Amino acid sequence: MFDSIQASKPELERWQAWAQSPPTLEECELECRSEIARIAARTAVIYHLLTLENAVLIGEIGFSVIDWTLRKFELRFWLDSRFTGRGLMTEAAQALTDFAFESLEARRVFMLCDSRNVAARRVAEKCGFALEATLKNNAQDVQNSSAWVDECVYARVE
Amino acid sequence: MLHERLNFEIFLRSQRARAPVSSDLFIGRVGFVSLNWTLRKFEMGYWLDSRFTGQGLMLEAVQTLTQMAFSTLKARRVEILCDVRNTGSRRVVEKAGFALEGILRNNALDMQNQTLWVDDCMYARVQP
Repeated sequence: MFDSIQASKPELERWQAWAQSPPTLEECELECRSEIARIAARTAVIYHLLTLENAVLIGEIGFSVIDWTLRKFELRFWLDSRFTGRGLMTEAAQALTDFAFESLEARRVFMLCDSRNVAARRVAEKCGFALEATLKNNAQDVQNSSAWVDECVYARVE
Repeated sequence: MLHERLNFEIFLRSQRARAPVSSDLFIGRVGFVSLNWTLRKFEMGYWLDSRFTGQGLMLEAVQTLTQMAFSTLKARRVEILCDVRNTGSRRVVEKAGFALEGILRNNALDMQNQTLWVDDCMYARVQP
């Protein structure tokens, strides 16, 4: 995880709030433990993406902000910059979204992203998510807290 | 966990000259059901006594609170969500100058039937 984040610093810094100060090796371990705790408490569903050849972590995908009553899940992900452009995240997002509808009885799976994050938008579109809205001034630019940005809401529903 | 809200009660002023404030009639509530001070993002909610609808009173309350959000609270974004079928509410929101950004499908449960999923309208006004 540490290696992957280090190798992807520019891309992760651009769009991910958590990547503004990249985690140390120790912080990555803490993050993994925190993920296990969140999965057990059912406040998140998180998967690590591993290469088939040697099981090296190249990204993460999962659901956060889960509302079990409303059966509403927010999709989030990041991918090692060395593995982008090959349809890997689309494959993962498709599988996880299908899993949500088939096994988690999801009624709504949605994703929010900066409207300028073309790569994330393409993943959502390829997975059959509809662009429901563009929320103006919905977030701050992760690299500049004095600038507000628009966010796209993509969703698939049952 | 603390859930901060900021609510105002709506009173209908008595028509009598020099009537005391205590004689004003409570007819509803308007306020912010969600406040994000970092993002300066506020979600507005409201309700009005059914006997006083259709008189432009809700519109006046929404307009006043929206104005307050932008000038006093330095809002960058004020949003209102409502059930897509709630045409009365939608009319008020649209007259108050909010833009319909989109429809969030299966976003909530019907208030009266917890087995029915409903769509919400996302309305917003922003400070450019």
